[in-house]
Amino acid sequence: MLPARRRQAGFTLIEVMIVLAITLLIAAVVYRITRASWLLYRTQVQVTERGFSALRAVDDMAVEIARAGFGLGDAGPLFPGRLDGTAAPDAITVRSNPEGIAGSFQEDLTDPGQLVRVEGAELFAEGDDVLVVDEEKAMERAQVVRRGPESLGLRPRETPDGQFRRPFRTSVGARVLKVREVGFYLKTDRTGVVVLARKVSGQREQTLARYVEELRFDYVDAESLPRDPRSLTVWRPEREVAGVRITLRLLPNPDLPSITVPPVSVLVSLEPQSASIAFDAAAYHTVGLAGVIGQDPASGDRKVGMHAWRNTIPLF
Amino acid sequence: MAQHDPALLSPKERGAALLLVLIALVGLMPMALFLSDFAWRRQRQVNAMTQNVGGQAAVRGALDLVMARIQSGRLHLVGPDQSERFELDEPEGRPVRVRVSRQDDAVLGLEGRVLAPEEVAQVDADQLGIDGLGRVVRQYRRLEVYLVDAESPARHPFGAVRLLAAVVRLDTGEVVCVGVRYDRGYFTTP
Repeated sequence: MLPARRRQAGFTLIEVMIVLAITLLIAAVVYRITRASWLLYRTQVQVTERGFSALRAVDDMAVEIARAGFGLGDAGPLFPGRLDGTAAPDAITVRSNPEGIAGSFQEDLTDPGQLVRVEGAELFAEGDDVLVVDEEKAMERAQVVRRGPESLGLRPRETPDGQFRRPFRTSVGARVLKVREVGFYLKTDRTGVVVLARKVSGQREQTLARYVEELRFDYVDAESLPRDPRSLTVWRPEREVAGVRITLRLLPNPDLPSITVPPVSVLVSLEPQSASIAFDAAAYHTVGLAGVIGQDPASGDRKVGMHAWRNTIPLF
Repeated sequence: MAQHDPALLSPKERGAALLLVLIALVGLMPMALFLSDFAWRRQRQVNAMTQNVGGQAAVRGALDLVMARIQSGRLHLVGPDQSERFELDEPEGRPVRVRVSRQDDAVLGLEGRVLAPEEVAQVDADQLGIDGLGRVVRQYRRLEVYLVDAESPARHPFGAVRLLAAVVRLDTGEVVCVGVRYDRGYFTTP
């Protein structure tokens, strides 16, 4: 009878305390392991998100910079500043002409909006962003505001008075090129965070990376020696610039465990997008030539189209 | 007589213990799997991205090789309908597929214009002239035009890197590149 009664009486205080102590010990161990795992997980998220954002942003910029100038010939492939035309060391605007659309003026362009005859005008549409250039390396950003039969009306995009800085004359081979511009720059978003943004003309802005501490573009020459970005004029980037070093430094995400984020730096070589073809032994008479890869509308095959311009006035 | 050790758990307690283990497994395993999967997925993305950046250098190297082969005559395409394909093996085992196709020849005029096909038949492409300083100057230059298509294939989760380049061989044998474009995405084999 006695053992049965003792069993019904339950556990002794010692037994309960021992079980409780063991349970607490196990709970403490489980808590510490879980906490360490959670911290590791959050740190891993931070490291990969920061690293991945930086790599992806730099890669995106590198691809655009590598094809800067495609289809533009000798017109400026890079502008060390923002899309609105303001120079800035932490911004870059990359230009190209992926469709190879170009036209040559058949009469002088002097006034904004005037319809001027352009060979190849049918390739352009109203609203197209264009570059107007000539053999004297003058260059101006403009927009197609009117299109007539074999003629275009252009308005400059930069000058405050709405006038062209200088006339573009047929005597110096003035021509018009459709341009696609991609800008990379820093901005502060609605939450007050500094972000790296990408904007293609005519498209919506995209955010490539958040919590940016530094974005820098160093322009280097063919010997990889650094050049002062200020030596690049707004309208005439120097031809001898051979590459751009991109440096992107991100801050840790303040909502995640603190880590050190190393900067990502990549040197991008500017690809050759045109060549000067000499017509005499001394290369005094040369013609510029750019190749544009497009699609043959009839067959669908890829085809190379050529865009040529005169580098010097022939003496024939 | 054989002596039986008392069982560690009674049959009822055994069931409860099994239930406890199952609950722990059901509760903890998904979280553990999720955490490890997330970490590995991110790590794979970073690795793939690094390799993808390398892919751009690989296709650029293919262009240099093609230009050297055209210049040396090792790659010789006689007509505009001809093309040649080859693969370049990368040390990591990811080949770069290259296709070189000959395009229609172009004739470039001294006035800075590519002649239309119907004009080409009417001109003497070898015509020479004398400039105002007494130099011998060509009136036209004939160009062989090549399209180079080099692709480093896709690697999940990133697409392929493809280089398209316009290469010109002058009548002097010199080979120059007059346009390069990089594309990203998933492409069909050229």
